[in-house]
Amino acid sequence: MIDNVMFNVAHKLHDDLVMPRKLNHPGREAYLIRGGVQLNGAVAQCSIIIDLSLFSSPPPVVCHESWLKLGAEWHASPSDKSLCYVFGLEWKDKLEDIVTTHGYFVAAQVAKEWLLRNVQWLLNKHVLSDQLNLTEWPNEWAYWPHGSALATTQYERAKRNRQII
Amino acid sequence: MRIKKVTINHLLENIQPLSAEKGGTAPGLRYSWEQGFHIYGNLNLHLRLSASEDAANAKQYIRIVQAYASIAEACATIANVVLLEVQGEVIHMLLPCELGKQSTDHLLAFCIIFSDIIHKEIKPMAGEAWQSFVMASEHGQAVLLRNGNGSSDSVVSLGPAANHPAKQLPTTEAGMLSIRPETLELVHPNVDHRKSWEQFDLRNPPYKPLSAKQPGSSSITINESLMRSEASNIITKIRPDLSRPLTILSRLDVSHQFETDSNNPFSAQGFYMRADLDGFTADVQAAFEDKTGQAVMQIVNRFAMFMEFADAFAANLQRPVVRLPWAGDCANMVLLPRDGRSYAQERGYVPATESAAWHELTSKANSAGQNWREYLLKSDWAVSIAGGDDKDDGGDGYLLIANIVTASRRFKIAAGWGAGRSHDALGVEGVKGKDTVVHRVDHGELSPQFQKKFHPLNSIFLKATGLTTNILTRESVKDEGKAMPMIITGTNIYVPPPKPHFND
Repeated sequence: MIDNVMFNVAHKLHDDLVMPRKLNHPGREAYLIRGGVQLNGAVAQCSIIIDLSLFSSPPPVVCHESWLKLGAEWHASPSDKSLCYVFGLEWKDKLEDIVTTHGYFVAAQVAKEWLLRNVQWLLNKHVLSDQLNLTEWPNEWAYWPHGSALATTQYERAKRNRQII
Repeated sequence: MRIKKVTINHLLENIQPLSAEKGGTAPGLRYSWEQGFHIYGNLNLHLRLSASEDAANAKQYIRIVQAYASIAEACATIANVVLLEVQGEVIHMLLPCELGKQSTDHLLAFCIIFSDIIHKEIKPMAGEAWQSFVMASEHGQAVLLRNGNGSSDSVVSLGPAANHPAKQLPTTEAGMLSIRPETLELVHPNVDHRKSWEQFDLRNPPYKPLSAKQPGSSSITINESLMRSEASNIITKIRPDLSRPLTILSRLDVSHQFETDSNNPFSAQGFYMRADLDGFTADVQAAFEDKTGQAVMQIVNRFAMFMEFADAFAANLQRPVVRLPWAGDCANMVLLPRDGRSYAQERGYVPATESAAWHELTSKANSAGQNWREYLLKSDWAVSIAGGDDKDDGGDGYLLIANIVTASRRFKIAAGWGAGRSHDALGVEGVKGKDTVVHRVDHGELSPQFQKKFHPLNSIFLKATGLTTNILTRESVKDEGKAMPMIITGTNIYVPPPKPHFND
């Protein structure tokens, strides 16, 4: 079942990229999807890995563009250029709930759209920051507190207050 | 910057930087206050100057402008006219004189002979690229300035008489001279005073100037035969060059400090940027009323600061910039793509962000703590940036940059779609200080958040008013910050708004 779900997500993501390279499925464990993510007036070359942990942790997304700003406040890892496009606990909570209530294939559809929308949102910020020579992540752009503990506290509080559905 | 008043002859000499005379190294500014006829010539050519496959056109363009400028310099010298600047197809000359019957006669004689020489010598060279040659002239005072930094031998002219004829060129008919009716009336009675400008037919002149009738017979007579023989000699000398190989360098071949000449022209994709001072010409005109020269000195001081302003702008940009001579109170430069970026990648923002950076600088201070605004007073910059695409005659951002070298001078020029459109943009009715004007093809490539800052000016150009970096950043960041939740189609499942998280 999960193999089919991975296959489904990988192919749909592949179809949504601009000029994607051939879908890579080296073992039976993961798919490597490479191609362009369409942004506002730009295309960002990215690599995405879909594996068995799809619903428990956000799939790794790496952006290969030179304009990507690296660092914690830019939500891009200086070591491997991977993007922190969603809070992992929120991803896990939401998708595991959807698996229970709607099944794997619906959860897969949500995961794919969520991933793509969030990556586009984050990369559009990077493009604009590059164009405007911004040196700091503006306060107007939402983000979870850095690190696991603070973000978890804020997330749990928001859940209790029903700010997160 | 050191400033010194000099005679017009001294202004044109090959000068050392002023401060070098005192042992310094910073460039100085020399100026002269002159009255006379400002004479413009415009050679209209149709040569597509775009990608490397159009190198033959680029070579032909350079050869033509080279011959045109050399002939202009030679003819001007013979006729006691001064060649001030060469800006590609447009040349600007000055006949220093008082306004009168004799000087107007001299002007017409020179224009008739010069126009005929251009038709005889340049038209065959241009072949199918030839469209027309037109001239325009007005008498008045002007401040002439020359920067001693050695980048170009162009002389900058400030004053209405230096501005007006240039703006008249696009509406002048082929083979004609645009001239004020009250000036033409000094020698020729049939003028229409309802018009601002008369069109004087240089090919079939309704008035035969006395100055051209008897070569060599008096001091005011123009030596027509010498003008013609000099022009012919120039073409004979240049002709062998036409078949000589000409290498067009690309950006990859050159360093930032590279100086082009006509044998090493440079072609690159970039954005042609112009910044024109709205309101300054009126200040210059007012300064002429003060006969002590103090007000003119203040104008020169202010202009020296404007030159420093343009230097500061270029220095702050994180990209290579090709500086071009000022055209009156209009700064010109070519913005090349940043290292590692392509022209295509930068089309989405450069026309908005870099023009906004120019406007932003007006509210700042220079390194000595002086506010730029103190020198602008009530005048303000109107900015245009043009690049173009690869459709129709768009040129795909390619600009040809070369130093046109004449017998004793050199003039840095840039040609291509962006050069022409950025010029046209600032000439549109309704463009004022604080405006940024872009062509519709460049507007179409801007990112959506930048596109919406511009509003149609006419069917070709769009403008934004008061667009500074501060405003552009604040509004774009706010717009970009809007994060909405998402409902997944067909499932009614809610996905929270985007909110990134960095886990150390």
